[in-house]
Amino acid sequence: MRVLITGASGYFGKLLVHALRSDTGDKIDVIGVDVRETHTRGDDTMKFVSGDTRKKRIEDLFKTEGKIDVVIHLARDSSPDLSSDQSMMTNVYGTFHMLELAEKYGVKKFIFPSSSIVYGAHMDNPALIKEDHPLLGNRDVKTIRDRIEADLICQTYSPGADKMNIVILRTVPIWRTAGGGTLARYMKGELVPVFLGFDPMFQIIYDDEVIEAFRLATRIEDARGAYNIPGRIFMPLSKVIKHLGKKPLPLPEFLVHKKGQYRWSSQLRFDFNYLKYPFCVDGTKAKEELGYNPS
Amino acid sequence: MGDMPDFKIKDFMNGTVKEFIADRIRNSDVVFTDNGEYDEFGTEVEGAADFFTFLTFMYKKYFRVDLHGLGNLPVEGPGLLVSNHAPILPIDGMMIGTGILIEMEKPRLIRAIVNRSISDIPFFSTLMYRTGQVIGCDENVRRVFENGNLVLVFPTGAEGRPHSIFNKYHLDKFTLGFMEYALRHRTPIIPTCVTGSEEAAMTLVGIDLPLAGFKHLPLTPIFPWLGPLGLVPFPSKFDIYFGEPIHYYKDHAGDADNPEKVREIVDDLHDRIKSMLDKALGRES
Repeated sequence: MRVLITGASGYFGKLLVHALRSDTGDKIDVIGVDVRETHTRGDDTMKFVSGDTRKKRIEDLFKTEGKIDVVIHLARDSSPDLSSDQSMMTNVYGTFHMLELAEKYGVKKFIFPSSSIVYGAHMDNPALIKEDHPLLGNRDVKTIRDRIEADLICQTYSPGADKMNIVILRTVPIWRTAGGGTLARYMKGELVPVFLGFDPMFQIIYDDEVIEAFRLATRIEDARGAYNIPGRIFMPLSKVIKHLGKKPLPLPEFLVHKKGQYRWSSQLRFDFNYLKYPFCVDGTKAKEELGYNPS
Repeated sequence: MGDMPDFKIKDFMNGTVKEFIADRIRNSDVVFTDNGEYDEFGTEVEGAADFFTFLTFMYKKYFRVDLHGLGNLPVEGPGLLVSNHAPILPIDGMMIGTGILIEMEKPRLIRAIVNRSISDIPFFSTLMYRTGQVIGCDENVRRVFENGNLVLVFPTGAEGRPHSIFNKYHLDKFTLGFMEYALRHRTPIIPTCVTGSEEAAMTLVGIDLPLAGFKHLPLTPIFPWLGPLGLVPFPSKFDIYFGEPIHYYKDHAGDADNPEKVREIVDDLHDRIKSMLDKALGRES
């Protein structure tokens, strides 16, 4: 099986490349693509190519590398100083472009990493959200808006829908072992501000669980459509914070953020309703169809 | 009546009651997830036990609740309690839930379908989640009916006009949604009525002034005049009556999609609960 991974030099790119190469069973050849310089050297089961998913030249890859079975499109950019338009080009157009190429060159499966934030945090959210729930995340935040748009493009992309399986993995907020990511920017210090009087149920997922979900989505042939990917942690937000070795600090809302700008770090601008209302997901579909079971 | 011991005030202070309640929640029909601490709606033994201990105190010592017709509740399997509702704080719902948890032979945790605006009210929202109460959206409601839970609805709903002591125990027109679910999921309906609840918070008039998630600002003889103290309810005597289960689904299985038929059934239920209420209050219908 030949797998093309975009964003292969990123945090999850590296982890996933490693996981797929060392996976037992049928051998997986990995082709990694990234705009950044790569420091890992390729060998016979691994090849690194420099490339940009937004550029037309990326098509050459499909012409020169032979038949590719699976595309895992991890390339995205959520740096806070990115302009709204640049963010859209990378995260939405990049996805659309790769989808088009994958379909054109007979790729069997396209895997896209989405997030449970696409559902949005609303006061009337169900206790556990299923995959067919409308994507009502806050479009005022560019990273959320682009996730939703890319997710919708993957859901509704139809030209090759009968030949190519499009898999959308909606992971809950990720806690990276090595640090970094939106969740870590929020839980920066020892004391983590939460809203006084609000303690919704919250889910987080660890690196190994995310990688396992991607591995299964790559391996299971019939994987198709959107899957919610929760982790084994499902508890109130305050307990999650304690679980991560920090202390929740209940504050009135205006001391936590001002119009979406976090008061405790300039690096975070987000929709803070995610601390107020639940947006927990139901992982039954991934359990039944992918055999993904985090507990 | 179940095996509820006669607790003294000191039992509430030294944790005896909390232990009793926690035990009952663990042995109830709540299905906890794999790690054993929470169920899918966010029910937590620890958090729920704390709150229900307080409610048990209110139930036993403050409102001195009497339950009538406990035997009409299903010991297991689905059941839908439909009740009248007093304004402002859902004390009636809390008392029904407490009574069922502590007095039934085999404890059950009631799932009240609450208005979504509750999740916007600080502290109340957290209490609601930890005690396993459920926001009224389709997905949640379908889940509790499928799980065969004991569900509680107040079908006069938030749309009902604000009550005051001048029209107390007036039963507004019922909404329809709950009956469609009950018919579809073959759920027996237990008509329920609560008396004493409207005297606990005597609203003179409700002012349309939304505050902290509440829809109206109630004026009572003591609120807002006494500040937060004015929110303390009066210690009125509560009585809760459970009527015999009605199996509408047996004769009307296919009528869930027929709104006119559903309206008829709901109106019939409305009349039954109204006459229960009139009888309980000793007033003429």
